[in-house]
Amino acid sequence: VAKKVRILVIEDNQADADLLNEFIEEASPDCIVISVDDGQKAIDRFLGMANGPEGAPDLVLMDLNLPKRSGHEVLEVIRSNDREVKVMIYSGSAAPSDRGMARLGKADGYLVKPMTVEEIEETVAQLREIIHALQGRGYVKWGGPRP
Amino acid sequence: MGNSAGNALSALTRKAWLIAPVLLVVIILLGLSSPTAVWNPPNLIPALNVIFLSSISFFVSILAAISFLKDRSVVALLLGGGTLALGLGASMASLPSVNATANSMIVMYNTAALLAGLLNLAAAAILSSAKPKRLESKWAPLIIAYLMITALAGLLLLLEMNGSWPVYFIAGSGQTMIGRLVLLASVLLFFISASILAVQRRNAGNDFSYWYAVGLALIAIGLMGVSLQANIGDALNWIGRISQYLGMLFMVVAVYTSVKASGTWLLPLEKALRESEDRYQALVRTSPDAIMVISNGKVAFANQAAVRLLHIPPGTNAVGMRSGDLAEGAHSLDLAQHMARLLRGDAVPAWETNVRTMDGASVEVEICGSTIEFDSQHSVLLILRDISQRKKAEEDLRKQERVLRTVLDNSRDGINMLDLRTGKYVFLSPSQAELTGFTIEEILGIAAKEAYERVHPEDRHKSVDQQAAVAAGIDMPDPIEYRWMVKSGEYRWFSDRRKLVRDEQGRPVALVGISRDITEEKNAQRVMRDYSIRLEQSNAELQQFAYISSHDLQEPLRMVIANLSQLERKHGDSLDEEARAYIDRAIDGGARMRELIDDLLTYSRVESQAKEVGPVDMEEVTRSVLGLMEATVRESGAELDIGTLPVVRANESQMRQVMQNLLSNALKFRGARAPRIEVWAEPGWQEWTFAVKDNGIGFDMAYADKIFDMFQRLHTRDRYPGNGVGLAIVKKIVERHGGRVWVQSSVDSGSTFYFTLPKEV
Repeated sequence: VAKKVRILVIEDNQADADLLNEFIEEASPDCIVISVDDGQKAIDRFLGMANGPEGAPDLVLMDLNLPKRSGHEVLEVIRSNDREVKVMIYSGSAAPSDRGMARLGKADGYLVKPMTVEEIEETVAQLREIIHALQGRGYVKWGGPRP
Repeated sequence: MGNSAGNALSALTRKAWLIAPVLLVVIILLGLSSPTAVWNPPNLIPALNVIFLSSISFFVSILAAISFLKDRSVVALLLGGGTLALGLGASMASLPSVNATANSMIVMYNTAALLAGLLNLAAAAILSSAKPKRLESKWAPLIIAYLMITALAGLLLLLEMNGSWPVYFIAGSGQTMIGRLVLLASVLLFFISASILAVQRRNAGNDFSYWYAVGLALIAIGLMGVSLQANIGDALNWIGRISQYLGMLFMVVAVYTSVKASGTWLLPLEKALRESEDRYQALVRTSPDAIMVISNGKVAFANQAAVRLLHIPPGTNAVGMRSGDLAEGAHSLDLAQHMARLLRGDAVPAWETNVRTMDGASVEVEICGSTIEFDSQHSVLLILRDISQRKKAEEDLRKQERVLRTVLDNSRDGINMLDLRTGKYVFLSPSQAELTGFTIEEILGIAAKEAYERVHPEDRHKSVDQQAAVAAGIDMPDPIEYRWMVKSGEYRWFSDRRKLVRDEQGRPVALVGISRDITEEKNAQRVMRDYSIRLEQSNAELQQFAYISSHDLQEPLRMVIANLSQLERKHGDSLDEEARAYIDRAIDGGARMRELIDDLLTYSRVESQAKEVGPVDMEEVTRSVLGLMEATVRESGAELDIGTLPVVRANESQMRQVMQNLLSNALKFRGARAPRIEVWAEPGWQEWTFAVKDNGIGFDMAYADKIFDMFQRLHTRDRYPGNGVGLAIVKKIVERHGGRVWVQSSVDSGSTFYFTLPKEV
């Protein structure tokens, strides 16, 4: 039985969050998705998990534009607590700006919010790879964004 | 001469003449008592005569001759002649041949004395006239005069030896009538000569004349004594002789003092006069002013300056020129009238006129005139000063002043001058008054305190600081700007510059101020500043708006497309063909809108993005962009020709954007032929020109400007997809980098897009 990968989804837009959940489920059924809809909740939840018995999530998928606390602040908190957790920026811009790249900073990767059928399939494929890697069933090249 | 010796001599000088009255009294007393004792050792008297009378007389006559040769003074000649005559007389009287009788001795000597007396008187008279008489030649008059005197003496000797000369003396009874007459005449002549010389001495301070006068006086007294004698060798004879010998000694003293004082053996007969004359001559010669004497309508004298002034060529003598030729026309008449008035004895003040030079030029002069006796002619002395330079300088100054005055009167800037010693304005330009709304009189009436209080309270320190600094000699190159309440009560902005004015000694004396009313500029500046701030704000807001709206537009759009996509993916199988077609079209529209939003985002980011500038290798950029488009390039079968492109200073990602947009256009708008794309760059003076050339469909140049506008498209989307933002982005980026963009194209024969970028400095 594959390891359950715990994913913290930080997305204020409910529709986006719902779609992302669909993509994750399609990519791998062995995932536990925890969703929060603002920066503050994200920090609280992450710290709660990290300091609790269950431990930090395996993957964080986060939007950059968040209410209350910005994605940047959230990322700071995550990184100052756990250097191992994988963080993917999940953003709408098809062509990530330089500023977005800079903000990416300490994140491990970039996922573009997909729209078309092809894009959705690509995103699902990427998610599958990532989850497999986190389950120890594959390898993914962390780092640079995928435009 | 030492001081004490000088004092002693001058004391002696004052008293020496007393010996004359003493001897005179002795002679008169002896004459009354008629002593009969005779003491006459043989040869004593002739010896004494030779020692005292002859030798000294000859000595003086030689000195006189030398003096005459030097300056051709008639006085010297006469004096020399006189002493020569006396010397000859004394010598002849001592000749053994005439020593036989007392009469012959006395005839010889006394007649010569008469001649000497005459010559001395003539000399003294000329000397006292204060008009030096000079002879033209030197040797001839001297030789003639001395020879004539010698000849006369010789003639006298001859006649006396022949016995043809009247008897003057009879031993025992004394002088005959004729002898006495001759002697008394001599006495008189010597006395008068002595008196004249004594007076002359007073006038000229001439010691020689004084001693010589005393000498002459003693000779006169001696001769008078001799005239009373009864026998050669009696008391009167001796006293008379001693007096004459003393007289000769005084002449030696006269020569001695003169030599001592002047250092030359020349007799200083006319020396004082000569010196003063020399001084005048030197003055006239070296005077920078032209000096001329006009006698009888002709130039009788002209100095060097006159020769220069009138441009008289070398070798030409100014003397003899007609005074009428000195000027032309009215000026000539003017000169003649002035000279006529001068000759009448009118007081004529200096006047200005023009004279004509020898080469016909006209020179402005100022003339001072007076009358003068010149060569016994009542003449006009003219002193002419060349004032053309002065006139020109005056005229230049006046011109300059007019220019300055015009500038001052018409200057928009106010110009003022503050006297630091009095604290008052000494000059205010009309514009200065105009700026303040006051009249000049009113401003001059405004006390310093009020003027200060009219400065806006916030600006007072600036004005005071500047004034103090400038007055302390500190250069303040930058003007100060301050508000000042003009007459209407309104504050207006002024910009003041102040400069320190110093006098010749370098002391600060005044402040020159230049004021400019800069109220309008200030207002305009404020408006401009406000405007540019507002513009900046509004630009920033617009950027922000464009960015945010584009960004926020994406989200709902994404929802539409993403959910339609999911619908198709998940439920496409349960939908019929028509339903799937609807979904496809909706997704397609959404995709186009998404592209549009992305382009708008890019466009708005050109400005909003932080401009990071660095060296950019355009060739590398081009190749990497083409690399990204590799699939399209390969599919179209395009032929690429990339020239050598330079490194420029720019923002790399924006350069990438420019090349990408231009190259994708070149590939997109291709015709039936396989595309051929050329990229090259050409260096200009200050910029590089880049070109991207294709062989595509091209377009009508009528649209050449339009195609760089936002959303401008020339073709339907069905044939050539796109939204018309690409070239607008290119234009914006290039212009932001200080370049220009343009295009050359024609339908069906391709397009060449050009853009420039500044060369790296």
